[in-house]
Amino acid sequence: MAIDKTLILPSFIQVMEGLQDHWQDILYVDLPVSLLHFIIGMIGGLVVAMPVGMSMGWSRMANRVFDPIVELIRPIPPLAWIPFAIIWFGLNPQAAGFIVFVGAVFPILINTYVGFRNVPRVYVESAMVLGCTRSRDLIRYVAFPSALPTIAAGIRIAMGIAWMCIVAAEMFGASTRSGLGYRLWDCYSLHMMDMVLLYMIVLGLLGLFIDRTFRYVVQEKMLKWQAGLTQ
Amino acid sequence: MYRQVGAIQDPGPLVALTDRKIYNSSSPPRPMALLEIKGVSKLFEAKGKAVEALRDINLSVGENEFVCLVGPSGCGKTTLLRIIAGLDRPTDGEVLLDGKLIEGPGPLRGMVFQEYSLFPWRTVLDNVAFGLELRGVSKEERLARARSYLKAVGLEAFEASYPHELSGGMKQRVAIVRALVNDPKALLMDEPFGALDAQTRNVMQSELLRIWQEKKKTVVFVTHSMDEAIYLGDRVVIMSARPGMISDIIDIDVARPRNRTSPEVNRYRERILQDLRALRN
Repeated sequence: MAIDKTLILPSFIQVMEGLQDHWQDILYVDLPVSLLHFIIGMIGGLVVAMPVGMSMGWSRMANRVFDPIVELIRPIPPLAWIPFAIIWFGLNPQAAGFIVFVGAVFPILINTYVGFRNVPRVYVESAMVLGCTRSRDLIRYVAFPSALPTIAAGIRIAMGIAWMCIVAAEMFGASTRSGLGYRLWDCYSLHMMDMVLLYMIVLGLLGLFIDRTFRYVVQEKMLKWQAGLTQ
Repeated sequence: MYRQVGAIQDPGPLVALTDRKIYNSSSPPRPMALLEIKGVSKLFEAKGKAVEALRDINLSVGENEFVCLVGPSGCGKTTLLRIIAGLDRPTDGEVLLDGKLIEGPGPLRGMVFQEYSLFPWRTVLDNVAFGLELRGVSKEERLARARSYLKAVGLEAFEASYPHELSGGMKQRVAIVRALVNDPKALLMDEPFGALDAQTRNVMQSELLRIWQEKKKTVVFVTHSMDEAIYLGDRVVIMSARPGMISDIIDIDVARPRNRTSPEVNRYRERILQDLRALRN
C-alpha cells in the first residue's frame, strides 16, 4: 500500500531527503550541463533570428526571400530534429543545444519581424527630417529601440520553449549522459519517483529564476521608458 | 525709422536721399526668397486610379517669414509640406531652398508633426539632442545645447522624463525645440497644435511666435483653423481641394503682438471665411 502511494505522489519528506542526498550532483553536474544546452541554443537562436527577422521586417525583398523558407521549417517540431542532431553533432552538448536552437529561433524571429514591421511611420520620418537618413542609422536609432518590447516578448517565449526542448532532448539522450532532463528520465526508469519530482521542481524553479532575471534586466533597465498600466 | 514726412521737410545729406528712395516705395520690399516652390504637382496612385493631390503650386517664402497654409481637408496642404520636407517627391515641378534643389529629407528643414512624434524610448533631453548626436557633436556639448533649448521653453525640469510622462502641449514644445536645435533654415509645421485643447493651443501659439522672433526662422505652418492662421501668419495661403491649388494669398497686415478679437483681425476672418465659402460652392 505504502509503496503504491509513494509511487503515485512521493511525500514532501522523501523529496527533501532526495535533495539532501543528491544536491551536489544536481548543482555541480546536471544543472551546468542543462544550462550549457540552454545557452548554446539561445545564443544560436538570437544570432540567427535577430538579423533575419530584422531584414524581413525592414525590406520587402528580404521578406519575400526568407518567408517561404521560414514557414516551411517552422512547423517541424524541434524534437523531430533529434536524429539529425545526433548524426551531425554526436552525443554531446552541441546536439542538445541544436534542438534548443530549433525551438528558440522561431519565436524570436517572428517577434523581431513583427516589431520591425510595425515601427510607427512618424518615428521614422521624424528621424529622417532630423538628419537620420541612412538605413543603418534608422535601424539603429529608430527601428530597433521601437521594436525592442516586441523582441523581448519573443525572447521570453523562446526561453520557455527552450526549457521544454532541453528536457526532451536530454531524455532522448541527445547529449552526454547527464543533465536535468536525462536524470529525470533515468530516475523514472528506476522508479525513483521522489527524485523525478525533485528534478521537476528544480526545472520549475530554474525557469522561474531565468525569467525573472531576464525581466529585471530588460523590463526594468532597457524598457523602463514604456508606459505600463501595472507597476 | 525713415518717416516719409520728415524726409520731405528736410532733404538732408545724400545718404539720406538714397535711403529715402529705397524706403519710400509703396510696400516694404519682400525679404529675399528662401524657399521657392515652382510648379509643383503631385499625383497619387490609389486602387489603379490616379488622384491629383496638387496642381501647379507656385509659392515663394521669404527669409524669416511666417506663412500659413489653410484649406479644407484633402486640399493637399500636408502633401505640400511633406514635399518641402523631402519626405514626398513631387510628380512635377521642384522646390528650392536657398537656391538648392530639395531631393530628400534633411536637417536644414525641421518638421513638427501633428501626431506626437517624440521617441518614447528616449528621455526629453536625449530626444532634443538627437539631431546633434547624429551630426557627431560631442556628448557634453550636445547635452548643454539641448538643455539651453529646453530652458527656452521652460521644460528644463523635465529633461529626465520620458515622453509618456508629459502632457500634449509639453510634448509638442519638446518636438519644436528638437527641430530647432539643428538650427534649420525653415521650420515646417503640420497642424502641430491640432490635438491640443483650445486653451493650451493659444498658449502654444504665443510661445511659437516668441520662439520665431527670437530665433529668426522661416516657418511654413499648416492648419485648418483660420483663426490660428490669422494670429500667426505674415501671409495666409488658401488652398482649394481636388485638385489642391492655391486659390488666394492674403497678407495679414496687423501689427504684432496681435489681438485675437480686434476689428481688423475680424475683417481678415470675414474675408478668409468668404474665400473658403466660395471654395465650397
